Amino acid sequence: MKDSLPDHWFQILLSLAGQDLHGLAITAEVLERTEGRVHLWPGMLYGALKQMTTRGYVAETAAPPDAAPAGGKPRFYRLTPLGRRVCSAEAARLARSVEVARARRLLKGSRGA
Amino acid sequence: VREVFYRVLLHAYPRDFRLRYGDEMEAAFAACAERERGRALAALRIAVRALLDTASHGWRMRVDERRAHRLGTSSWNAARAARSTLMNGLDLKLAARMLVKYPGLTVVGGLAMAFAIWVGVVTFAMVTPFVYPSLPLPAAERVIKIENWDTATNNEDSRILHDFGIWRDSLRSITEIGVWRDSPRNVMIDDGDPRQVYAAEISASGFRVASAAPLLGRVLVDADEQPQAPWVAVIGYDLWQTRFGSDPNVLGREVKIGTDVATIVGVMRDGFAFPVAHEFWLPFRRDLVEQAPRSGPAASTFGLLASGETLETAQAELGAIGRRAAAESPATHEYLEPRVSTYADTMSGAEELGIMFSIYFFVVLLLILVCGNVGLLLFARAAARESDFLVRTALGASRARLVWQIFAEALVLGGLAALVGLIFADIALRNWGTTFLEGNLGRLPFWFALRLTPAAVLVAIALAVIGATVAGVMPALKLTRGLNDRLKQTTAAAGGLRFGGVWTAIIVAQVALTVAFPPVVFWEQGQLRHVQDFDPGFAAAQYLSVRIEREFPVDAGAGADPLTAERGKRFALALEELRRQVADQPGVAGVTLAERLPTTNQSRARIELASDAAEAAVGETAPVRRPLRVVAVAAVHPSYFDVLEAPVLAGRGFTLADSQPGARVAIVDQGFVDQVLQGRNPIGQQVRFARRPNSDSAAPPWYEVVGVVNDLGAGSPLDKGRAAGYYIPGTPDSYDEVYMMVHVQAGDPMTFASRLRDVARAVDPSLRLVDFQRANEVNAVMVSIIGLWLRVTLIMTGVAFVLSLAGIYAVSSFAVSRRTREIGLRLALGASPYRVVVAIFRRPLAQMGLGIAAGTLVILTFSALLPHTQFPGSETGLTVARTAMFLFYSTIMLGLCLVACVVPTRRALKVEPTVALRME
Repeated sequence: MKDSLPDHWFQILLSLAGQDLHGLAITAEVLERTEGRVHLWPGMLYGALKQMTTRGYVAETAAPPDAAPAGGKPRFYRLTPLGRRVCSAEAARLARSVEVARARRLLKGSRGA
Repeated sequence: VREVFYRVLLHAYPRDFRLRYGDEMEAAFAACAERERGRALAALRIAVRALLDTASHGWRMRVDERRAHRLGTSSWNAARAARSTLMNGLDLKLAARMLVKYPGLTVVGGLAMAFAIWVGVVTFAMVTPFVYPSLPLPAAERVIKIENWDTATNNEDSRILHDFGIWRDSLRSITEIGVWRDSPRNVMIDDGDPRQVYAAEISASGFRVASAAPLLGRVLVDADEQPQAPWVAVIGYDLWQTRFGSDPNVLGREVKIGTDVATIVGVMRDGFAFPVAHEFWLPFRRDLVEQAPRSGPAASTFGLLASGETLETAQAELGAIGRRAAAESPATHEYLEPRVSTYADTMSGAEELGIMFSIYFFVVLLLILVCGNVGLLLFARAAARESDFLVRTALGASRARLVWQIFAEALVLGGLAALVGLIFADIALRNWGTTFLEGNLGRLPFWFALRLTPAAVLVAIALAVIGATVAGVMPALKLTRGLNDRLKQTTAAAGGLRFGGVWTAIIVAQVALTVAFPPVVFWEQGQLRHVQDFDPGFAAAQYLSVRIEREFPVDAGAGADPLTAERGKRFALALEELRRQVADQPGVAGVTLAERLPTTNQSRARIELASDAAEAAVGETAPVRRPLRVVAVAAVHPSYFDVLEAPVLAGRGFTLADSQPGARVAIVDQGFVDQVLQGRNPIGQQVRFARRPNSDSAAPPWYEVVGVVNDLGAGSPLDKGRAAGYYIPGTPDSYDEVYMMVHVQAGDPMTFASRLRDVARAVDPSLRLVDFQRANEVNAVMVSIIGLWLRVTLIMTGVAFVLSLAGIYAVSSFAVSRRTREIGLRLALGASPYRVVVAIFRRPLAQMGLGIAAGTLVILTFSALLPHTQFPGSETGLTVARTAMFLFYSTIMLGLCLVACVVPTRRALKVEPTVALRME
């Protein structure tokens, strides 16, 4: 296995870190959070969801009672403990790179800028 | 279309995945598509993104799945996986390799299929805008129009201005209601270019309905519609580029519109042509709207459905207004019914759909015919690999698996053909599509964008799949039938495979078609020559012709009321003055006016002769050949024959006095004398227009023939036979249409066009001069359309010919390869090579002969029927010379077909007996 996670996998895991979501909601959340930079098309999204389910990063779950209706009966996904560890490992890896970039003055401003 | 498109794409994913996630993926795709909406080229973007997404992820899943299957660790159902890999990458790879290995078949079959797909795609792209017009406007689905329908005559009544005022003030479900008409004003730009400007008078709301922003300046606003407001104009992008040289300071420039002057206040962006195909916009003045019910000039409306309203709710509200108007003023509105409909006309009647289906029927028929032939070639090629298939069957390959493989070959070929067809369709649509439609229909509305849409690409794909099915599955089924039985026989090479009845029929039909096509080309060429050579009877190349439009609308119930008569008289006087002044210009030999130009379609009328009645009364025996009684009529200015330099052969020419009302004289041409009078002396003959049968009106007056001239291009070049020209003198106010012809003494007559326009403006600024042409080129559009047909037929002939030769080659080479052993045996036993060749080629030769005979029969039948049709140049039917020509031609075709047998024959004669026998 490669040492870094594909970007769209990471984005999907990130969006599931907050709450359980269905496919359409994941797309919308990622699109909004990345300001339109990451656009998940159906093949990309469901292909990733299937593989991550096989690997045990995410698992299908029942719809939360407060879920907004989204036409039909969409599957909801939740982050598994393994998925959470993978996601935080990837985040830590990225954070290390960010630290290096900041030390070399490639990033302007302070944290959160 | 979008949903179907994505549903098709979903099939690229493994089946289990699709069943599990398909519904959600469709919903996700719809959401993605929705986000792309409103961006430039949205449909294309969506299609490309979806294709890329599917290609990368769907393909990867399949590869992973296959790998897992191979490693025996598949989590998928093994039987399912086997089925989904029924047609796998290997098949496609093998198919591609076959195409490279047999380049002749690839080129011939591929081009033939590409041609059929090209025809299908071009037809689709041309027909779609009629059936499903889509307005390229942001609020396209809300733009509507309102018409008044006269239920008594079942016709639209376009005198709607009175009602328009009511609709505008009272309708709630439709907003921004506006009105427009083609401007009758003569727009004159001072650049020496005589071309007509397509101007519209339009309500300012039109620019809001079309959500149009100007490139420079502003659009029209409501204040411009006030009667006392100064005239302003907005010009189109193309007009600005071509006629104003893209002048950035064009705003504020003045343009003459009839007797007024308008200031340019805006330039629109490229592509804007609302309401139909316009390039110059003037405000529709409010005072013009104030008309009595059902009177005033013709106009059309547009509007925007208010949010939350539909066509049905708008129609309900409009219907109530209509019923109220009918109750209040039954005299005018009893039978008027206002109707709201989508802005672009849609063809949805049963008749139009019938035409559509018949067009598609022929497209699919052409495709099937062509692909049947390609199938023949594929069959011959696959037959050569029969032993291959036997071995694979022995190793356990199912029949379906083998059929898939041959289908894959056809599919790859069809895919390539679709690509080539699409490329050429794009070229054809870009370069000739618009010209072709404009030649037939006039200026095209702005929503007629001829281009390749995603739907057209889908059509190409569908045609390719249909074609591949015909070309691949048919031969595959035939080839794989009874493979197991053949396997039991020990020899493969001498197997029981042979060309059956279907293939024989295809070859015979193919050869017959090939034989029948060239005479069609020959005949079309004859038509073209007939139109090109149609003799105008005068030196047409030296004449400039121009049509003159009237300022006042002719549709507003023009009867003989005093106002119309007065306007007509003024118009005639202005034209007479123009004629006089143009004649005084240097370099002009003469100027005349006529209702129709020579060699264009002059109106036809049935006539009666006074001598007919006399003969009938005497009871004289009828002449052997019935004399012609239908003539081509043209009203002409008295100067017509002098200006065309047509000598008067007998009697006298027209004088100015002849054009006065009550002077009932006529001049006829030689064709009239020969055909109507059958050589009798025409001078003094009494002629009148025949009444319609059962007509109660009074008999039309008699005209006296006073002169005879040579044939001067009377009738139309598309009519059969020689026309009988019948000219009556008249002033322009009595003409249906008014044409002026100017005899220019030296040089190109077109160079005189701008001077003519200047003179016309000086005489009367309201005169509108349009369609400047050389008098010898008035049929140029007709010639180009016939030329286009000729080219299409030529291509079809080429395709049919090449396919036929390839088919014959395939059949004869198949025969040789089937019977190599037999040839060897016969030669070993001492048979003469000649006899061997005859024995082998008996079947292909019989097929060819049958085909040629059938084709010749078709030609002869049509030639014999031709004199009974109305086509020009079809007077003579099947003459001895023509029959001899066709027979000679058939012999040549037979010779050409034999050429296709040369290579297989040589191969047959080279068979070494020992080698052939060793094959066992």
